[in-house]
Amino acid sequence: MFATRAVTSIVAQNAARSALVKNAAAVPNGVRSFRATHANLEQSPDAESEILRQQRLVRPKSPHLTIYQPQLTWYLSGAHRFTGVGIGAGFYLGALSYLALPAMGYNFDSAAVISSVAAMPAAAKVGLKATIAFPFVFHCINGIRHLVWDTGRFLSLKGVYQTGYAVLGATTVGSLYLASL
Amino acid sequence: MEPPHHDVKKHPQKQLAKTEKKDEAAVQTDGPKEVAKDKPKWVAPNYLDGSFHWSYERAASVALIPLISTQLIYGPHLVLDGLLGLVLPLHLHIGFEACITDYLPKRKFPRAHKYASWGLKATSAAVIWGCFEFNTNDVGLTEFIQRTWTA
Amino acid sequence: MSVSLMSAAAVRPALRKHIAAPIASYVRSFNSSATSNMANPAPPDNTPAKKEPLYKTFEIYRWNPDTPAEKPILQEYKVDLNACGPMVLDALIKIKNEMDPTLTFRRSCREGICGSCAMNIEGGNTLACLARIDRNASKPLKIYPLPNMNIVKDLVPDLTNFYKQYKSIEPYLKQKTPPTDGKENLQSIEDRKKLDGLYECILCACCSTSCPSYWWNQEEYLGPAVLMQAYRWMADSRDQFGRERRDMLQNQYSLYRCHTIMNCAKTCPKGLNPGKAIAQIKKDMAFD
Repeated sequence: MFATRAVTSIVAQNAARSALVKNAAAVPNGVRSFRATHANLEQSPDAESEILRQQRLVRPKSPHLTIYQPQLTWYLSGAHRFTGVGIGAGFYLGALSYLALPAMGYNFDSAAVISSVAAMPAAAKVGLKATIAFPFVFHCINGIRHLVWDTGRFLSLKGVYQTGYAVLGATTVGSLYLASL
Repeated sequence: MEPPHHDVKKHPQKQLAKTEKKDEAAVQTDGPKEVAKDKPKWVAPNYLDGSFHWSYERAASVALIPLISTQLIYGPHLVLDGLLGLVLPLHLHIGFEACITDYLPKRKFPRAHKYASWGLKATSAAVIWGCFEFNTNDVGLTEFIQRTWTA
Repeated sequence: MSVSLMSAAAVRPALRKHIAAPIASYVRSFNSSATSNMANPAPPDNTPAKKEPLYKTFEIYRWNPDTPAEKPILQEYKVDLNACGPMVLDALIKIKNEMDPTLTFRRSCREGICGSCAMNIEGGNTLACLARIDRNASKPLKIYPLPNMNIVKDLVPDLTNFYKQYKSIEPYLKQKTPPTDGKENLQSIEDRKKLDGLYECILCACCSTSCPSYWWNQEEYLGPAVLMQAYRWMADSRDQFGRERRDMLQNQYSLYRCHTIMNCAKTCPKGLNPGKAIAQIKKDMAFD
């Protein structure tokens, strides 16, 4: 870019000089003649918007998830989605397996599942129950929090944080209870 | 940056108009990165995708509260299980659909969006059928969860 | 000089009574300040106490459009907090003045009312002129531009889309019938109170760029700032196009990508609550 500027400025100067010499009679006094040289075109609105357009194509996106402060607001919202997708995917898999697996030759009815679960060691059973109970209870109670918000209540910043901590507390209690059954 | 003197003296209006047009073009031509349209073209309000969708999403969620709490407290019941086998997959379908709209929007991933949407519809239909089969031919959802949990 | 004159007056006792006092005051006037006539304590030391420099590291996001192939970096600057104003904007200006004049950022009013200096400070979006610098010098202070925006240079985001979205909601009074008395749009005090918490928005874009839904769907989702202003016009008793304004949001994306994450209310530097306004719009639209 700088090289072309230098070259075009020399060209412009030479052009002006030669114009003066060649058209001395034609150019009236006091009026500068304009030449559409490269340097002049570079500063025209067309060239400017072209430079801007080129710049827009390469602009980076500022970081978001990686730098944003961990806050109860978006962490609990992310957890709500995460647990929803997790439990939902599990349920869908179970229902689809019930439909598909017998056709493939596997025995997959309630009796089969119950007997295989009963055969597991006690620690694994408690661990599995806790792993399933925690997301399920969290999603249920946070879901109620969302429904309360939809009525317009507890939507102040204080309300959001108070209900958020209440949900976390209730989830712990609820999932411990369910896991103990 | 000076506009050329010669042109300005002769056609000042023309020069201005040209600049304005170029500025508008400069703002709208934005390369591959999209920008919301300057003047929004009028689109008919789509209540089905808008407030109706929001309302029946909340209705399904609210319906789940008495269903699940009764299931937890009271235990298995034929009608409850049947309803659960309908409302729960519906709630899950709406939830998964929201994920697709958020993360696979049509404007960015047109084919992935289409395949995911139709795949989800087919899967949800299959799940509803599966729940119905389970409730009819097997012990029923609540009974099953109860027995597995306390196995 | 005063001593000799006084002693001269002392020689002639008769003169001393009449002349001593006027001579003394005349002589006194030769002195530049009266304090030198009084008993002389140590002169007050008016120089300010010199503070030890307290250096804090600032890590600032940098990207230069003149060298677009180079990836954005975090550049470190050490600022003496004891020679700098208390707000982050003061530090940024000090860095630009004394250390690195190429550091680029937007700023104007320096008092939290124009919204120019909105950026991501220590993970949260606020105005740099209202963000106090934490005086704990052991922790670096991270400054990023507003999240998930196209960056023009350093801390300057491209807000063209944001402004276009604001324009699209028609943020002006629209009426179908002229005012009843033909002149003024009268509004009761209760109706005016409904606008409190809505009209104070300075359009700094902190809330919209803190919303994960806006991060993923900037092109179609309007974002909390614009939606709160849409509600400001719906809630205005003088505006008669409420139904039409709500109809404009009847689609999957413009309003309904809001999942009540509430990052917006947490981050607003003016203490406003866009999430609450959006919930109100959803309620109103459900009964349309």
